[in-house]
Amino acid sequence: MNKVILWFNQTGSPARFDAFAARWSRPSFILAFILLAVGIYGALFSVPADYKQGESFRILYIHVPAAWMSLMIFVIMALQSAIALVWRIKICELIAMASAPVGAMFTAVTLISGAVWGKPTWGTWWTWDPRLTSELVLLFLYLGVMGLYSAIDDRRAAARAAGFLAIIGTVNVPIVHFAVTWWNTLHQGETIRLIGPSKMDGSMLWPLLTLVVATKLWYIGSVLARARVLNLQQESQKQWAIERYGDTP
Amino acid sequence: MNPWNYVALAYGAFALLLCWDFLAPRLALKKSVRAVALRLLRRKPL
Repeated sequence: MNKVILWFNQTGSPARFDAFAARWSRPSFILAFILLAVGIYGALFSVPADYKQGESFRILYIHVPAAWMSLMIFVIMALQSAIALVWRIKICELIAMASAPVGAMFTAVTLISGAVWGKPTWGTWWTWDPRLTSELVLLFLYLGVMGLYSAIDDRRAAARAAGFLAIIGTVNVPIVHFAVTWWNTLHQGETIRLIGPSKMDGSMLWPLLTLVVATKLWYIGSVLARARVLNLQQESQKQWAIERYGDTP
Repeated sequence: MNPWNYVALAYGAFALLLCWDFLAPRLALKKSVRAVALRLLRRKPL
């Protein structure tokens, strides 16, 4: 068998996944902490104040990476749910369900930091703008997935039902992303582009890119830690779990 | 309000939510590991 396929098959076993998650969660968090520290230092003390927004623009260094994560995690959650629904792969169910609270956390960061930035810039904490409203709907979708997963006793059935909601909820992802182009909105348009020139000066860009990488590493660390808990909760009566954790004081 | 107060508020909320996200699975893992250990203890003859 192909080595990569073999590795995926082996990691898909609950016992191996537990070891894999235990091994890689910590280094991801450590790297994320380092990059967060560097990025936040750069955002707060290294880059100059914006000529229009003043000091409050520094909030965008956490707002933008958190907003990107809120969308990216939802897509990952829906993809994992789709794989789990089609091929009944348990680990994909766990990763999908473990992603929901992390995604909800980043969506909450996006909404809170956006509100705190909006007050000095727009003069209001909140407005029913298409981008803001669709991001709030995204938070409700995350909470819906988490609620549905907790509401059903059978863990596999719960993951299937919540995964189905995640798949339907992906409709909202392009709405959030394109809200600034489809409608007249108070929210600013694209500043940073993956293809083509960005509107942000290069000297102000590096803390943002550092924090973008940091939040991705944070997600990897957090989703592995959370999936490990869900895995252990479901496997607590299995021999491997008893052998590995039975003697823990 | 001073603009730095808004910055502090946003970064404070960010730090608080990251702390929750970091600690919550660790506490849940401890609870799950303890449950496995207790189950084994109950199985062992006195």
